[in-house]
Amino acid sequence: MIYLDHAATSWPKAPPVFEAMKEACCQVGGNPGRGGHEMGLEAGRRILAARQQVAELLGVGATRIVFTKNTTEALNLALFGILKPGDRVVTSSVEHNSVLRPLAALEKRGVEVEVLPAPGGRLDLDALAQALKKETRLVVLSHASNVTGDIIPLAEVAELVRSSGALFLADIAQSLGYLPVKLGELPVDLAAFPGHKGLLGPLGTGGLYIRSGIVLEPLIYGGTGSYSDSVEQPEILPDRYESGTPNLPGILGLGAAAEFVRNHGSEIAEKSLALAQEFRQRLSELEKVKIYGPEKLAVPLISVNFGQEASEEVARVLSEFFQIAVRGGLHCAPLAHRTIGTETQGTVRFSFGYGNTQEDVEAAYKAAVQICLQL
Amino acid sequence: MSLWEKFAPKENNKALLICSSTHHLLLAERLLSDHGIQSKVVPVPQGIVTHCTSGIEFASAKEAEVKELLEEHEIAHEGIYRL
Ligand SMILES: Cc1ncc(COP(=O)(O)O)c(C=O)c1O
Repeated sequence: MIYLDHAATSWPKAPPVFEAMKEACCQVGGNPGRGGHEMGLEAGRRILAARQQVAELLGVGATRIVFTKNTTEALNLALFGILKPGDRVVTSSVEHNSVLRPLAALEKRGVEVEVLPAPGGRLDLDALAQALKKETRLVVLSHASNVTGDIIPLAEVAELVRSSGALFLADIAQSLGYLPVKLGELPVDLAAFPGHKGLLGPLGTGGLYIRSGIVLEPLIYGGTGSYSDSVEQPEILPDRYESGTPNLPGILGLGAAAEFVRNHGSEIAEKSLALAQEFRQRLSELEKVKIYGPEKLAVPLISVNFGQEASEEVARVLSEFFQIAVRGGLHCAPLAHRTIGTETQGTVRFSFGYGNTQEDVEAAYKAAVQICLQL
Repeated sequence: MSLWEKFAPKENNKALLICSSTHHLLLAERLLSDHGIQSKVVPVPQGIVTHCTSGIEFASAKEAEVKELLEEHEIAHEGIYRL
């Protein structure tokens, strides 16, 4: 199988990731932070090291990183943790359901939600500035769209939001690993990230960066191994937001992944982007292929359609008859498809990453030609 | 003719099971396989109205048996269509 679905989750993972996970299972036995024995302490030390590795990559302090099981959980923690009835939140129509669905639930609880237009997939910055004239508690936007690959100017947007007095939550699911995201240098208050996409870490891992000074209502309450004499949830980070036994193998894998990306990330990103850009160029010569998103790619993903064919069917055909794994459908972002006019057809998304080669571009292009011949 | 049919060899007497979610689709696939019923995950042809994009194709002669298995194992499904 040729894997061109890195935007859903990267594959293969970086080799140090599975080494770290194996070690977590075979050599690190105890429950971190539970009880005073050496094995538990050692597990705790390993988790701290992983947290530092992730923090280093993001350019922030380790204590400000909370581990979650994916970007979705991190976004939920941020949204439910900040927004109260009567608050106003601003987002855009290209957002993922991991933002839109929590906001729809919060709207029912009395939160005012404004969804900004993003014509053709691009956020309208003037509309954002306009929306921020009304008192707003939070702005939540994705750095890079998982449908079109369009990006927002992160620093500029963060400045704009900061100057309005609102908090800014960035969804960096599609940019982390491909674009430099030094959170410590930006006026970003919260950022939700996956461990399993551009970082090349295990599935079921992710996290939330929380700027110092911001206190959220936890999503989950319980034992943290600290302040056990109290039934109140502790205030300190990361304990406040990490109740219960953590995913030790996943987190240690994620730490190794962050380290790997810190050392090799720019090469991987450059190569992935070059392959995606070349594939885009070649597809643009095919008359029956419609390409969405920017001409000059910022992240290595391209959404297209083949004539009027349903995108899921094209994806199944590519999988079954060409052994090429791509994603069809709406990519969990229904409103984004409305903005580019593909709400019924969806799009076929090719996303490149670690391990892809020139031959993969060749094979995908040939398959595209074969499909066009059948239209 | 659908794009899929242009690539897939035409097979007669097939039925298509549409489940209510991927979890149930995969449960059904496993169940059919455990009972020796050959099946294949295929795209749902246009014209069948569902929010699911994949279904399970199997020999229509097995329909009654499949229905019984689905009931017995409480697999949430939207319907079985003759192709
Ligand atoms: C922009 C965006 N936000 C959020 C998510 C959700 O990420 P996760 O699967 O890690 O919960 C994704 C991934 O599909 C995404 O592309």
